[in-house]
Amino acid sequence: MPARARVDRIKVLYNAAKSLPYPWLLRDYPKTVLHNGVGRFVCQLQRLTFTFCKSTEPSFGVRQFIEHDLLDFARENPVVVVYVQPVRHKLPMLVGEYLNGRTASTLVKNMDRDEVARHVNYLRTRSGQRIVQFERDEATNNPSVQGMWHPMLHQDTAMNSAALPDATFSKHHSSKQSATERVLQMLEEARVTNVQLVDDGSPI
Amino acid sequence: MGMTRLQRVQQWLVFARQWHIVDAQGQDIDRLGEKVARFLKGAHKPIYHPETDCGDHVVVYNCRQVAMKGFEWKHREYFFNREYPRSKNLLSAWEIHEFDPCRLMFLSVYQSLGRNLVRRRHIERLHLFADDEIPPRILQNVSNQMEQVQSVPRRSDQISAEERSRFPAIFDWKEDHLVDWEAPRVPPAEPTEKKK
Repeated sequence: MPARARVDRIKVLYNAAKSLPYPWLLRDYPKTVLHNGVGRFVCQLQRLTFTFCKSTEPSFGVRQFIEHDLLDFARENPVVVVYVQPVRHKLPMLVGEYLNGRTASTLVKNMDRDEVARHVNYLRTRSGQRIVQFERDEATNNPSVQGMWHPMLHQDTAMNSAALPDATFSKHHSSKQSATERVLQMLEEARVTNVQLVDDGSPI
Repeated sequence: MGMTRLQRVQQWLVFARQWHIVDAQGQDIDRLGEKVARFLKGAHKPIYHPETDCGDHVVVYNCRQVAMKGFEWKHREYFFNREYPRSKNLLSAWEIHEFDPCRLMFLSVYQSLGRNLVRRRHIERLHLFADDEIPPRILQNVSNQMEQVQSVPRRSDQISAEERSRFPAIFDWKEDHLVDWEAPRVPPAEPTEKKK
């Protein structure tokens, strides 16, 4: 065997990456907004662009949505600017732009009117943050209440100034009492209570 | 979830190698070996993991004064085999201890480390001294004195007459009782050659 074991690190990383359920997703921990429940709702979606074709089949559902539901949607969400952009012979897309500068888009090819409405509602209610996979379901700013362990944690501070080795620190401590210590303790108790110790033959 | 400067330095300290010292005077060799092996592996730390390199240095002094139970010095035998012809040998503990007073402590710790690949790395951090003379280059690293595994018994001739008089008389000695520390036995003479 060599003096130091050789470890193949690339294989470890490769195997770890294979076991990730969604390797294309970013991985992160949940973060809380600290003003939880204080403040007012601000719709993060600022612009919504419908890109569709006026004649082809895949855009049929989007055309139905624009014809029947879009006016109601715009009336209910006055902060959202809606653009409707016909493009010839292209697939239909929904592109939302958010307050944090990010965009989110959805391909709504071959979808009917209800499905398009669901995707519009999804883009409306998103925050604009990237979707990440959580490493863990919980996160904390204070991982340990008792603090980090270190080697000096429960060490006797008298050792700091003593010259080691010192016999006082190496003394064994035990809860068990030896017979000699028991006899000396009985003698001390008798001296305190002023009792005469007499051998009456009974066991100690 | 940032880490403060103090916490970062504390984390370096967590993985720093510590030096411990222990007195082997009158200690049971098996129990002391187990305790020393635990410190060499780092198993006494809450961060312990067998693949983590968190073992400590241990200095054992007074190895010559180590103790064994009963008649183990005579009856315990160690088997050595270098796998050469006629190189197998059974040696009793007292023979090894006479030749090298640190060897039995080494064997006890090495056995307690278990059969694994890292025990050669761990045993390199064990420093054995037959007496209480420790070179200062070793002693300057030591930051902790380990507690012994048992209390050191006192021989009867180490108890002073004043302390003996303070102890209550639990029974009476016989008239012809010979107190061995007052009249020690003369060791038997060397056997002489038989005359033919």
